[in-house]
Amino acid sequence: MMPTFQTDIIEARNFLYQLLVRQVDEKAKNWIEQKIHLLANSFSTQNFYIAFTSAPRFVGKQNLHLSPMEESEANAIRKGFTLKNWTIDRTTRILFVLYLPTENAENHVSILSKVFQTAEVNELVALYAALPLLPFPEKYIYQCTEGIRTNMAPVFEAVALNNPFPAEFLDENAWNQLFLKAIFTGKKIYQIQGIKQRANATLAQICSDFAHERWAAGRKVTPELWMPVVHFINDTILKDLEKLKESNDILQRQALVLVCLESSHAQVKELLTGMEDLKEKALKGEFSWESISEQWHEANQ
Amino acid sequence: MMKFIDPHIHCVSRTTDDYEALRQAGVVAVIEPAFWLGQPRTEVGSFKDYFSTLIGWERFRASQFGIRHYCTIGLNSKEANNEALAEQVMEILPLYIYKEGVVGVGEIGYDDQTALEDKYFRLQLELAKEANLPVQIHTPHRNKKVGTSRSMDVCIEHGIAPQMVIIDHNNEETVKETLDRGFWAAFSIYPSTKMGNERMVEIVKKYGSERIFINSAADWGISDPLAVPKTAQLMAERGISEKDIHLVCYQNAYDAFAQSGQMHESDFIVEIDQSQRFNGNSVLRGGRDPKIEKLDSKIIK
Ligand SMILES: [Zn+2]
Repeated sequence: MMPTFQTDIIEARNFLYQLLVRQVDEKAKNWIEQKIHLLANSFSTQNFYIAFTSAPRFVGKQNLHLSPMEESEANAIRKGFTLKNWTIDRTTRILFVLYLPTENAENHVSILSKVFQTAEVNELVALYAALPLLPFPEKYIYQCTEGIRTNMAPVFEAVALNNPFPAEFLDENAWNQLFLKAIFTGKKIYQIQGIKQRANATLAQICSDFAHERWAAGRKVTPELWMPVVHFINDTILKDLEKLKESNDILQRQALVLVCLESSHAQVKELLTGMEDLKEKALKGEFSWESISEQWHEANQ
Repeated sequence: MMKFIDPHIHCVSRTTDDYEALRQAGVVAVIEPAFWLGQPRTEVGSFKDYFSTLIGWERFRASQFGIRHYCTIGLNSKEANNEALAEQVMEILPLYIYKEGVVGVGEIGYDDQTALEDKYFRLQLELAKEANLPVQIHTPHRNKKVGTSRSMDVCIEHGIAPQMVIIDHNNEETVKETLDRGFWAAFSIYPSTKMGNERMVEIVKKYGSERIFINSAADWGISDPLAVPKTAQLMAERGISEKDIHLVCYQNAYDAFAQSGQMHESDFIVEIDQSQRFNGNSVLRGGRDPKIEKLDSKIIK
């Protein structure tokens, strides 16, 4: 049985509202207030639809800025919830989504599905970014997999990156699809949440197969590919890791060191021999999956 | 290098080669009117998915080539003749016309000038008036002169200001009345059936550049997506001033459709550099080499 709520919706509303009013001008603030008053007191699908669709023309599309304190507040409201790269219009739209009536799952899904079906690109981004705040999460799992199938890069990023929903609710097959598609389309993999928790033997093998395919074609693979293999070492993957040790790309060797440090596999641990300098740097936090990812994307843009 | 807007092109029927060529020729923005697909649709769902494509996938696809994609949404005159279907399409139009990047209601008007065409033309004019959006009018191929006059009469009858109406597919026979009555006069440079390049040059020589603009109307038929830049070049060769070319191939279309409040020059991507990201998304896929082109290095021959 899955939970009905992923977050206290009133608290989430207040949080988004406070973020917005701190950054928008008086006119936009009045518009937002007028709309949430309307949605709270006389909700109708029509009112919701108009508010959701027209938000950018009244509140603008500037970036949303968060203080470190607000970032941790976001995480307290909903574990893993981040507003990384959000804009004012997106935040406003999601605030409105939090005013959908929650008495009845079918009603909630029926209203929001129509919005999903007729959404333009920025609306889709807002809808998928809202997934971790929605009630009845199990009703939105299929929609989440639709977001993973999209060909529109910003939409895929809204589902796959900085979003706690997929790791918590997708089945193994769908989760593996998300990871592999993110690799394929060159996303920054550390921004996928829950990789450690959702790593599995099938995914580890998929990653190894992917590397072999690329290597056979004389192409490089991102070192981030090895993040999920740590606890699923087999003979093939062990050989793959040995290959990383020989790489003249420092990022590949850094990735190997991180895998070795996290792994409890004796032969994997042994690979650290001769890499003491990197091991020390890793332990001092001088590099991480994040820094490897950032540097890889910088170099292979 | 001159920049251009093609304010009437059916991108869903065009290839990525066309997008590349458009961008290389200096087209920075396009407007895609909703039209028929060459054969009649039989279900309202087909319209819904088509409209969603215009504001979703096609918009994203264009952005990958550095082209800002806008659209106009409406029920075209041909399919207005299926009354049962037309009723259902009218019901879903309000879901789309308020979307971001929807710069008008279009292309609507008359084809065979039947009673049903008249009915849905008028209903959509009311919709445009309510949404305060420009109207993009398709004028008929057959009985053109009468159909064009009638389209303008009906707009006036519905209290729509001529400056909010773009009369499209003009020719030598219709241009004078369109301009005299204060409407925007658009010309489709479309081989054989509509306007030729050289005739267009003569029209600009005769009528000047006020409220006149051109488009390719390129679609699934034999048509030329580069009609706007090619005609600009021809105009230059035949002694039309740069200022007039700019008005006819860029500024007037912009001024007409920017009345929607949904089109902003600041959103156009002025220089292509595929190593940068459009809209936060790398356009690079599958290991293609970046194509970097600076504007000053490109001359249209
Ligand atoms: Zn057309």
